[in-house]
Order: sequence, then C-alpha cells, then structure tokens
Amino acid sequence: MTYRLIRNVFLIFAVVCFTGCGGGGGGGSTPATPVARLVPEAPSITGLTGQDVSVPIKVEETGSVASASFDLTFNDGVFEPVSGTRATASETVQGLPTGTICRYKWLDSHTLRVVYASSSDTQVGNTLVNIPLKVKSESDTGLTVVNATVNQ
Amino acid sequence: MNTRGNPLVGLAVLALLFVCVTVSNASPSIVFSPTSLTITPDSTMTTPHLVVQNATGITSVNIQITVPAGLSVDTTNVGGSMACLTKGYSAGNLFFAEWNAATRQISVACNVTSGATIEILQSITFTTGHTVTAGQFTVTGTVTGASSSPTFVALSLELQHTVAFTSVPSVDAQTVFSGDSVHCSAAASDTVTGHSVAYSWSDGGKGGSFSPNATTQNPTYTAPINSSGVNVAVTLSCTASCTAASTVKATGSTTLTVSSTLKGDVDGDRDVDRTDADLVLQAVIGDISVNMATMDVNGNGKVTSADATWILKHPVAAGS
Repeated sequence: MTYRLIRNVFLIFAVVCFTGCGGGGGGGSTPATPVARLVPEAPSITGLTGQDVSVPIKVEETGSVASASFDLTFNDGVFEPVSGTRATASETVQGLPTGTICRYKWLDSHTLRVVYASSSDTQVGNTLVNIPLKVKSESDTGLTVVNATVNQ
Repeated sequence: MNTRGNPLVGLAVLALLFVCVTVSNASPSIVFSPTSLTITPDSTMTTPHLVVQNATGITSVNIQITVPAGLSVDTTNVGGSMACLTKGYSAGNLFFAEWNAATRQISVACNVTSGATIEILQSITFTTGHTVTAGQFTVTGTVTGASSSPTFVALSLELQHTVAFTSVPSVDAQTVFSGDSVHCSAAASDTVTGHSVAYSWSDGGKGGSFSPNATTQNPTYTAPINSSGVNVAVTLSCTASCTAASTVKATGSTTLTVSSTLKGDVDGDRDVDRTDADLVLQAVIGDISVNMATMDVNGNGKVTSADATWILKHPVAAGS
C-alpha cells in the first residue's frame, strides 16, 4: 500500500515535471525562420530509355530560395549522365535564367549533388531549376531531394 | 621763434583740446579684471576684483552682481558693513556687501577714493557643483560723481573640461577588399557630467564613405575602389568633441589596408561576374580547391552557394 502510494506520487511528479519542462522549453524558444523545402516536381519522371528528361526541382513550404545545395537521389540504374558517360567534374545546367547558375555532379550511380545560386529569390511554388538526366532504364525513379540547404 | 600766425600751431592746440575733451567725457566702466574666469567642476573659486575705470570724480558705487545658477556663494564676507576695501582706502569710507539668495545677487555699496582707476577689493568666493556650465557674473548699478552713466562688463565663466577616448577608434577588420566595408567604433566622454560628445570620422580624402554618415559614432566605412594593383593604407580618424564647446575635442585614428583585390573577384580578372560565382560553386561541389580569402565573400567562415549568390548580386564590371 505504502509502496503504491509512493510510486503513484513519484509518477505524478514525473509527469508534471516532464510536461512542465516541455511547455517551458517551447514557450522560450524563438520561432524558427520559415525555410523553403526543395522537392522534385513529381517522384517519377516519364521517359523512354535513351531519352533526355529534366527533373524540375520546386520550392515548397514557406520562404524563398536564393541559393541552395542538395543531393538528388533516385533508384539505382534509372538515370545516367546526359553525356552518356559518368561525369567526374561538375557540369553546368544550361538554359538557366540570367543571374542564375547551377552545377551538378554525380556522386555515385544514384546520387547527384547540386549547387545552385541566383541573384534573385525563387518563391514558393516556382521551379528552382531543371536537372537534365538521361533515362537509362524505364523503371520506378524514386526521385528524392536529401541533404538540402537553402539560403534566402 | 615767433609762432603767431603759424597754422600748424593752431592745429596742434585744437588736437590737444580734442584729446582733453575726449578723456574727460569718457564713461566710467565697471569691469571684473580679468574679465573671464576658468572654472572646473567640484571646486572652490574666487572671482577677480571689480575695477572702476575712468573713475575721475566718482565718490561712491552701488552695484549688484548676479551670480549664475548652480554656484554656491560663500557668504562669509558678505552680509554686513565693513571697512571699504578699495585701493587707496581712507578711513571713514564705508563698504557694504549683502547676499540676496532669492535674487542671487550680491549688492556692493562703497564710498570710494576718487581716482583714474578704482579697484574694489571685494571678491566673491563660490563653489561649483559636479554638473557645471559656462555662464557669467553680470553687473548692474549706479555710481555717483560721474559725468556720464557707467557701463558694466560681466565676468565670463569659461568651463575647463576635456574630452578623451574611452575606447580608441578601431575597425573590425584590418584589411578589406577593394570597395568592401568595415564597421568602425569609438567611444569618448567629457570630464563634465552631462556634456555629450559628437563624433566625426574621416578617411583623409581617400574616397571612401561612411554610412549612415561620417558623424555617426559607430559608422560603417566603405573603402574606395583600389585598382592600383597594390594595397593601399587608409587612415581613419575620429574626432570626438564636446557638443557644448566644439573646441574641446580629442582625435584618434586607426589604419586600414584596402586590398587591390575586388571582393568577389575569384579569378582575379578585375571584375565580379557569374564566372566568379561559378568558381565558387565548383569549389562547393569539390571540383576545385576552396580559397577562403577570395571565396568567402559573406565572411561566415565557410564557402557555400550563398557566396555565389552574393557575387551574382554584387557584380562589378571590368574597369569600373
């Protein structure tokens, strides 16, 4: 009986402490600056083997993007470099608006590292850049943006 | 020598008469001698004596000296009759000095011994406070025996104080890119409590600019474009002066080196363009080596795509 009473009091005390600390921490924190999120326009791109396709990277959530670094990943063997051979150095993305530059580089057979910079911000809902790829195998692409860092 | 009929003699006589008339008609003037006194905070001081100039014929003076606010008068020697303290004192002359706290006036009445100049040996001892300002002891009154109304000259109180830097002029970077900015800072104070200090920065005409302006205490300095091919030393001087007395001031300086390299000119071709931004991206992606000195243009200690954006936003054409 005494043991249960002590245990219950301890549990109540622990719960109060936990919720109290959690609330205090939340109240004291500074609201984070809204950060944009980068995503492929669609997780899959339709294209025949050997065709060049472009993967639009869109700005979502809140905020805007002036520069960014991110990795574009996809299922292994789905895409290959446009040039047809594995690039060792980075390549520029052609056809970008004035005041915009972008380079991408193959890290391995399923990862592109992309760095992007512009003199103006890209707003939420707009396409940041189109990444050129060649379809190597017509299968599920599994496109994902990871390790993204964006700057306004 | 017969001087009769000589016109020069007549003119000389007229000039002599004119001088005599001028002297005899001069108004008496009651002044402190000297006419100014340097005062310092938290000190006890004494005024100089009053002097009656052109005092011929004067037999007595009756004057009021108004003491400026903020000064505490030592009333030990004012407040009652006493022997006349004028120079040339003769027994029987009476002197009277009285302090009126309400009007802050000292009334001085005195029979004087007539002469060309009379010095009244009454002085006023006073104490300055911690906060003290410049001011003056004004004088008004009357004299008897003068051929015309007297004039009065106040005693000017000049505040002795200094301005000194408590934080000497400095910049947050000793070397900047051509056309780049640094933050300047300095702090100074006046020895008199309540006196504020104004600041004025200068680069000695080297062509840079201060933002928001050169009279801000801690402005941002934008260095001039240095296209000389060699680094240029710029001396940034700061003058801190008392706002109440601009001649009371202190000057300090710091030296800044303006690199001949344009900020963002990664490839060193004397322009800042997308080629430079692209080099930054290549460094970020690992194709070329990172050069912090030229690529970290936003100064955050790392080279990222944000540096490329800075370059794209701050292009500089070749030759500009």
